[in-house]
Amino acid sequence: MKLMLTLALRELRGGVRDFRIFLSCLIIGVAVISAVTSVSRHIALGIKQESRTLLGGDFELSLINQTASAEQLDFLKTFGQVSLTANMRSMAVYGDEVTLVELKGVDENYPLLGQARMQHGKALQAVLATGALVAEPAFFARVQMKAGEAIQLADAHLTVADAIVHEPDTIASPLSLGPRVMGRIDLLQKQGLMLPAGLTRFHYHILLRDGVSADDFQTALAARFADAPWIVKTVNDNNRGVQDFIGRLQLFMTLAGLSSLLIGGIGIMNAAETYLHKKSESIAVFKTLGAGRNFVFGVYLLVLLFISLPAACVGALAGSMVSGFALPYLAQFLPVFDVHFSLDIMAMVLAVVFGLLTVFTFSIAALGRGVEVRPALLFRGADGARPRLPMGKLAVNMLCGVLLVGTLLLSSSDAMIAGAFIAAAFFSFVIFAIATKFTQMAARRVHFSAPWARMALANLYRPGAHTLSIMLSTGIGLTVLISLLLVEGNFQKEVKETMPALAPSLFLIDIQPQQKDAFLAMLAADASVSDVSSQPMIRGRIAKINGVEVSNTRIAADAKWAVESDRGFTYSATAPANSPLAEGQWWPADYHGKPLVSLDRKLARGMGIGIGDRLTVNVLGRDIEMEIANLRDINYISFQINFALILSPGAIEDIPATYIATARVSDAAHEAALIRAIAKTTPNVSAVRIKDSIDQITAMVSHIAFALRLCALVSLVSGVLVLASALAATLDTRVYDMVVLKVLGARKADIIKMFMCEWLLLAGITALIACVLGVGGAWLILLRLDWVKLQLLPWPMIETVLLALAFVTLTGFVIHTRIFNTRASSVLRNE
Amino acid sequence: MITLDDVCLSLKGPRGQVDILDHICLQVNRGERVSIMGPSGSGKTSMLMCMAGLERVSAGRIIIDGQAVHALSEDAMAVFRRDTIGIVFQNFHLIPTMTALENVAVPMEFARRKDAHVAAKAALDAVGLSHRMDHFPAQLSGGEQQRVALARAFAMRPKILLADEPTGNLDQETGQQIVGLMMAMHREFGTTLLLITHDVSLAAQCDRMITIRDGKLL
Repeated sequence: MKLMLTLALRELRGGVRDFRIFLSCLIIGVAVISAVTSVSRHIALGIKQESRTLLGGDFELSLINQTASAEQLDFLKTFGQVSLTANMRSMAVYGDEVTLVELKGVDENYPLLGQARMQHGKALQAVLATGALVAEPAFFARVQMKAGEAIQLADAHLTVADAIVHEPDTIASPLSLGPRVMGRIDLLQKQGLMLPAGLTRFHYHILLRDGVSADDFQTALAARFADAPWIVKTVNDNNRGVQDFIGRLQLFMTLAGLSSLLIGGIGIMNAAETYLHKKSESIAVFKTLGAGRNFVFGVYLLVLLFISLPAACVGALAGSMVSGFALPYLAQFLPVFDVHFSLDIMAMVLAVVFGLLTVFTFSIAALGRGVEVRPALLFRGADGARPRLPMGKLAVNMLCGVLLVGTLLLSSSDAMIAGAFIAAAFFSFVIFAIATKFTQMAARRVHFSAPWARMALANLYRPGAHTLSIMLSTGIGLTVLISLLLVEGNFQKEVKETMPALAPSLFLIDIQPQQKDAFLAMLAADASVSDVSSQPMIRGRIAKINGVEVSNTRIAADAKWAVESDRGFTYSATAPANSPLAEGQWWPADYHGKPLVSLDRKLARGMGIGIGDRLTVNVLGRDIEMEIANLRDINYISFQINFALILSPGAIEDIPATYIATARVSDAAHEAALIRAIAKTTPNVSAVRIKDSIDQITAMVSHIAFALRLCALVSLVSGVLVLASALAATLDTRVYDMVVLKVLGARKADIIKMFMCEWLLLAGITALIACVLGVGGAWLILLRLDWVKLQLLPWPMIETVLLALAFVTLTGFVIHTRIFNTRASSVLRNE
Repeated sequence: MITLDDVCLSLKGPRGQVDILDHICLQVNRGERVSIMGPSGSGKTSMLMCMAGLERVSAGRIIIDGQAVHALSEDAMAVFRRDTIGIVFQNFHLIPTMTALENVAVPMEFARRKDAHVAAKAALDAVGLSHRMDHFPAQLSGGEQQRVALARAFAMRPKILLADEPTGNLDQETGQQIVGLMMAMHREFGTTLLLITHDVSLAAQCDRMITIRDGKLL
């Protein structure tokens, strides 16, 4: 072992010049994984540390349109401090500007945890105590007003005294119906803003006193108020949605990092092969002098370890530092709050582990073959034959691969997506390997008279050709790019074309039953308004599935949204036109039998139920059991009226309902006028401008697109490095070949044409395969996200083919300028 | 056939300028066999490189078959070399990733000859290697590699053959075989032969011997 170490260190005396690309690939891949892991761990840690503050206490009890009774309130107060907040929507008017706002009422105890921060430094309660409101900075920007001016909410005129820049119990969301405006609950009630039949959610935040455990509280609550209509939320419930989002984001970013590392692995493989090829003579000499094969293997394994470990550490540190810059930038777009950066050792260690496993997975085979060189080489020269990899080394190689895959699966938040990535990567490798073989076979069979064309084709299959490395390195990067471009392109198309085409101009909510007819008549009378539709809405909660409480039922993660809080239901005699039937039959228009329900098909799948199963919905304390009659496919992002549950007539018509409506308005000017008119005549009705929502989604999609392109760019950079390594590996051979060809009469133009033909052919074939694989990848991603269906967009694919041609040709020329500048005599001299 | 008129070659070395060739004047007649001798580093190979256009002279003129090769562009020189000059090296300098047949065919392919491979087969036949056509250089012995190199050099029926110690890496018997082939081809095609050698007996087979020392012709 000591001798192995000694020899390994001696081998490093030549420096790491031969490993430049090896180290670059490793550092980039490790840095990306370190950055991604560090960012997501920081965010997750931040959420965990602030979880109680985010909830506003240890528990939150939520009620709709009702407050807790005095008895209930007294009970809650025995366990600790209680704070009441309320949320509702309203239309705010400032001059000619009318906008929907999220109105939040707070009591004098708010916030129980954390601090609210105001723009001008005053204390929140001090400002609210004056009878004024505060608002998010986005509100001031939207209506173009300054702090200290007054707005109209319904019939109330209130001053907005300051901007609130941080609410301790709110996770910033990239999507919201309107900016937040906050005031004291008693003020809002006095001003008539909390209408009895409007949708107001009341939240009781409980901060348990010392000595009271969460379990104690929950047990006592359940025992005393088992039938209370409130929804109880714990710290874990509150975090789940955000953590799911962060986990998904982390996974995609980690996969992007792993793509870079995998592509880098090919560069590592090339570099290892080139290094060992250069060391053939040394290895032959070692063997001639008595070293065994495994001893030599150990020496060069140590060489790889000695150069990889420091490089991986550098990459991990660099990635962690980058995350420090990325976090404040990301905080603007992610649903998180202030995150404080520190070096994350665990993230760095994980990245280093990934890096080293990648090095070994991709270099063990080259190492194993390299040490099989026969000492006869010293006498005869290389015979061009590739040594076979011994079974033992193959087993070690596979073990490293298994460890790499295992580490990925264990460290990822979604094993299914991680597994799909691994399968996709393996499949891509296989496809490109097969494509290489076919390309080489075809190149052997095609004949051109022009020597430069013939030689270009021959270079694809000559002994020692790096055709596979070039196709793999470029191809995988391009496949990732095309997949992401198609996903992004489809998102953009959906947001910019499909959504606006289908979506109405306005979504109108909280229309009271007594207002409905007059309201709809007003819309009908407006010549600029068309396509008006309306639907009654009753709020309730899915309480049981086939008689079993939902809390005891296994529900898929992407269906949990339907049971975690109350939902809006409606009833209808006829099937809705905008969500076609997928399974089952609609009830007759004059149906009056047992309650039936039409359900969202995806929701049904997530709940593991189908036609004939039963749902129990709790509405205002009353359980209503209904049988599933049919399933529908719903496109929620059409912004039309879409209900996950539609009941048959007669089931809930006796329950007080509000109405929602949608309408198209011919232009923006008429739209603004209509919103003002609605705010004036029916101030309780909230008008949501769909264009604002689409703009928010467009902005969010743009940010996602930016992140996706950044990920693709990193993969491409790795791909270029690897391509450069593959081309550089053949450089000495090509220099020699070109000099000899020049001696034999080849002109510069012949040599350039030969290179161009070879590279363009390789790039073109690779790009075409990448297009096919990329389309497949995009289809899988969109299938998993289940948001839009894949449409083939020609431009991303054309972009990618052109990019491939440019990349390969440019890289080839840059690497091979040496060929054109080499003096023939320096290669041909005997000395 | 070949005229070197006051040819000088200077190259930049790590310690300043190095004069490789110092006012070389030489005339070689058509069909003549000239051996070039001299100690290592005297400029023999450099003079050959200049004649082949593989090194640019610093001063003077080189006229080959009426063509002022010192003034030709790189591409023009490549074409001239292809059509007029054959070169045999001590280290053979075959392209390792091409078979023997492909190596011999290359100059004819650059000359756009449709029968390049047919002619290459015939050339390998002539040197006794028709059974090794599909072998790569690494699969051939030194003597076989040099025979392939000879076949390649004579494939285009050059007017001039430049040989830089063609037997330097071969044993005596094999070397003699190579020389025999070279001389036979010279007789068959009337090629003017310039041959660098340390072998006095080989030099004796030539019509004339010239000596270079310190870049000067003696």
